[in-house]
Amino acid sequence: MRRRKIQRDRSQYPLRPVTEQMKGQSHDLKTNNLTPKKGEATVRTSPQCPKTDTRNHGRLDTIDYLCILSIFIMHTGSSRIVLSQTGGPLYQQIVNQLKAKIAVGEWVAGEEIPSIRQLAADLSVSVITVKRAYLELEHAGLIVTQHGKGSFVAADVASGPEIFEQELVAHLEEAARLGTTMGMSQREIVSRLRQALDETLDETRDETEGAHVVPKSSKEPV
Amino acid sequence: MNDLCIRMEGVSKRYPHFLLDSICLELREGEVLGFIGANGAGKSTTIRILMGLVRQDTGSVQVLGHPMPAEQTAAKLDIGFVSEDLRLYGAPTLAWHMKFVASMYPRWDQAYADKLLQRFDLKPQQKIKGLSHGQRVKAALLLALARQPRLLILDEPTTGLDPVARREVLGELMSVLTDEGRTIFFSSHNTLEVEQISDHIAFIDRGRLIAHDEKESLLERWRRVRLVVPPSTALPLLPGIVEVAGTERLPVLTTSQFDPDVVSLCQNRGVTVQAVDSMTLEEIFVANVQSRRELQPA
Repeated sequence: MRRRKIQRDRSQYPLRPVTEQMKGQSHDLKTNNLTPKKGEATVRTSPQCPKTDTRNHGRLDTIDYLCILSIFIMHTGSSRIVLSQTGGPLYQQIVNQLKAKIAVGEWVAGEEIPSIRQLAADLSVSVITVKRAYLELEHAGLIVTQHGKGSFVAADVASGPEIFEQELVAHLEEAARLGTTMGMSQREIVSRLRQALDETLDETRDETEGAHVVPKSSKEPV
Repeated sequence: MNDLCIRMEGVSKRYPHFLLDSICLELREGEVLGFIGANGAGKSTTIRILMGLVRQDTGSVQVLGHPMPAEQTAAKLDIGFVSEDLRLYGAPTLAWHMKFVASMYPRWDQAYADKLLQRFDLKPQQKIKGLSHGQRVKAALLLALARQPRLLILDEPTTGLDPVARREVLGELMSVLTDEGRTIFFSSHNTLEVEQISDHIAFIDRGRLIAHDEKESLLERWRRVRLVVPPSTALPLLPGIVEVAGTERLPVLTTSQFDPDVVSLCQNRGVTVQAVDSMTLEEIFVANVQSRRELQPA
């Protein structure tokens, strides 16, 4: 039995996963609430990082530089995925967030992505969970895994709009299938879709009017 | 890679009021097995047999290729063991313990130990008797991890830890696994963390192994199905039902062999499927234990 050492240097993954207890903070495709912008993620992942003092008139002091440096290190050393305890199955959360990364172009075609074991360690989730997420992404044609070499974003990966398009088609088909098994007529299914559309529009309107709307958690019944 | 790290075959041990009944368990290298059981279910007995601390009446046990308990000395060089009742010396400091353990295990990694001190928020100059329960657990984990053992056997490693410490410990356990040659066997009451970090899951109840499966397929097979049954319609016979709850018109079925075809099967009998809920590991464990206890009362 030979021991294989993959990674000895533990300083490579300084970022521990952040679990959000708050509702509505899951970043999945369905709510169109994608991976947070760099600034937002920083505030959340490094609470010791103070906000820039306005009295400084925008000048950065040493601590700010240190913060920026640490952001840089975290950005290069980790996958920056945030899992929520209330966000549904872990593998599904990983699938959704990696899809979003590819869709918005954070990960580009041909780019190497973290190995299964590396991502499992970063997120403190089991290897088998990440493996399952990667398999699903492979089946969707978004990534390729070459044995012994690692995993990469597929060379011919669809552009962002196409990924969302595929997602939409899958959801529509699922809705049609569910509606049919529940014995609904075509007219009923269409009217339910219209209803869902109205609700979404209402929510957006409320948001633009400044009303505080808590987005639905993915676990709540719709 | 993927050699068997732990292999138990037909292992039994009889005590006056307890029987550990023909346990068969396997764990491959590089994987994490979460071992779940109620109090007194046989978790600690199983772990003691694995460690060679208790001799089984019948059956064979191999750990890292060594038959136990015969070759326990050789096996223990490569096993890191932390259990709730593991005691450190009270008067000496943590630093003294670190030196002591380092003197016995050649693979001790001092730089890693120093990093763990920081991560677990421990002070090496503190005497063990002045530590809280949680700090003692973290100290024991540090001593086990810094030896870089190929197999970690942990008996409830996170019991009594605060949420922050628990996260640090789980994170540290998972970074151990970036090395494919290392394996973890751990027992816990905390099903949430078992669900998070385990590849395989074993349930033990009343001395018997009642489930031993890949985590993802276990979570995939168990579902709670909410039905609406029209008056004078019989409840369809579905596969793998372990529990029927709710009312006659609105039954809630728990199944251990869910299949998406169930929905159309019900539809054909005039029964509406209102919802199909996935279950947490805790719910699966409780449903599994309860259904078996009902079938076989003690």
